[in-house]
Amino acid sequence: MKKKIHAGLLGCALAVASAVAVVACDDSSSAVKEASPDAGPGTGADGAADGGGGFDAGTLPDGAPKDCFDDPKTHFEIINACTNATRIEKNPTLSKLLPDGGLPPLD
Amino acid sequence: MRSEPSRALGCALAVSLVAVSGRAVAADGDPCASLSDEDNNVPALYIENGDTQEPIVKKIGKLLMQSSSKLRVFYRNRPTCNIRDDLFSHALMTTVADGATPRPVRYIPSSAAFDPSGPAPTCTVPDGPPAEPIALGIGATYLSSCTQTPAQPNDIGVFEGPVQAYAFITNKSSSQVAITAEEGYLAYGFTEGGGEAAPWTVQNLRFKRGNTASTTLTMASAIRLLPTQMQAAASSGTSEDLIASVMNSPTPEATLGILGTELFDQRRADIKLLAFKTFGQRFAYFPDSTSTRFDKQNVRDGHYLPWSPTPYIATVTPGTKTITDANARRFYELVMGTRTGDDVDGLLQVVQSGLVPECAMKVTRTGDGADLSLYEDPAPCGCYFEKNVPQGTTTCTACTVGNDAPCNGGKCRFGFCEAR
Repeated sequence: MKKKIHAGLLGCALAVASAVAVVACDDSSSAVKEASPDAGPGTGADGAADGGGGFDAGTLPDGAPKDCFDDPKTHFEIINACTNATRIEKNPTLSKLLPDGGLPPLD
Repeated sequence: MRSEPSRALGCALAVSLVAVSGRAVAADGDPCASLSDEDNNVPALYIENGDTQEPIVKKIGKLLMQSSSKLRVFYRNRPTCNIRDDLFSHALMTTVADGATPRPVRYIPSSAAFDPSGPAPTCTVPDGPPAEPIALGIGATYLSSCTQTPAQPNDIGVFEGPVQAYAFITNKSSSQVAITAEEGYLAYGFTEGGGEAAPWTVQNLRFKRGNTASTTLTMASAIRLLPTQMQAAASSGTSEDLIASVMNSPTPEATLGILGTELFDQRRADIKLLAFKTFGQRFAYFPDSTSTRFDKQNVRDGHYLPWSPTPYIATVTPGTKTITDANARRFYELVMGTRTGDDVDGLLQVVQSGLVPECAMKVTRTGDGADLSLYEDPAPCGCYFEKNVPQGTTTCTACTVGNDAPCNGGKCRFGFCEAR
């Protein structure tokens, strides 16, 4: 049991370290960031984990995932291209969205 | 050589002109065809434009009145789809109202003291024919977003003008910084707080323009709604009405509105723009690279999605793409920076007004809400744009060899070396 807890703590520490590494090493993260006043560190505006499911922009030299595209070609890559502009984290929990994150039909 | 008496007469005329100019606003309400304090022999251009385009119309209009080849602009603000209908049906400039919202005609006075950032004086037009034709329409979103009746006549041309961005805005006292497309859908798509998109859950504190206005059309498509599906307070007749509603809201946090960024740029002290995160985007962005700059960097490179080109609509010579009316053609060419030998720098006014000329864009799209694709203008003007926006700077190399001349392996464009 104790071993499991230690492994969990180690996992958490690694996850936090990875997140820090992404922020610290990603070339696009050197941009000025304007944190949402209602956002906690490393989380979305409402404390939810960052979104971006299926986001594959490659990896940094240390193996950490990149959060932007260096050479955008498609719409998805263009809107998520690396930039020196202010980037704002906002990932609210919206209870009305469908389980897959899709938009619910209007009433 | 002029004689002394004629010089004195000229001087007296000049003095009286200055005096008359100073009283230009006193002509408010005159018939447009016979302005009491103005020279009515100056050629006239009647324009119908979206109210987001009013600043650029006034700025270029003033320069045209100060030009060595004077041209007086008469204009009227109207929703984009109404402009489309008017130009497509060859409508005349007669009195009109959209519901309870009157649409006064305004004119650019001859006074050099006229301030384009203030209101232009009004004048009256006939209630019915005969009246002057509307020679130029300036919309502010894709006409494909409008109802497609009447159909486009063969003798009417639609030309893409500079890009106009739009935004969600809120009260200056709100703590909100950004809004996601999903939040916009849930806030505006459901009555009252049914979408549970806090804090924008009070329907009477969500504001929009009419359903045929470009602001509503473009912003609705940005959140995958139709204009008629946006659940808001009663539609604001004008952007200024909407700004006032947002400014005067008793509950800043719940307040949400939509506005053209060209107008926002003039009212930054009064209202707050929210960064926008579109569907599938990792972060939210402002139209500009930061909240305090004016560079429209994120519009130009595709990080900021709510934008559309401003369509210029005019009668064309059959079988050509040439605008028939010489004055309308002059105005359009000045806006596009393609006119030579004119003493009015229209492109500079465009850039300084918060609009983005197509030659400075790096992305394009086919319609409201459509996906972006990369764009390379054949004669780019990105350096000129970066240099001339408010607070503008550029790292590009300046050149004086003239447009199209070789320059640093590329070409000289508007005073700077560009890649092409």
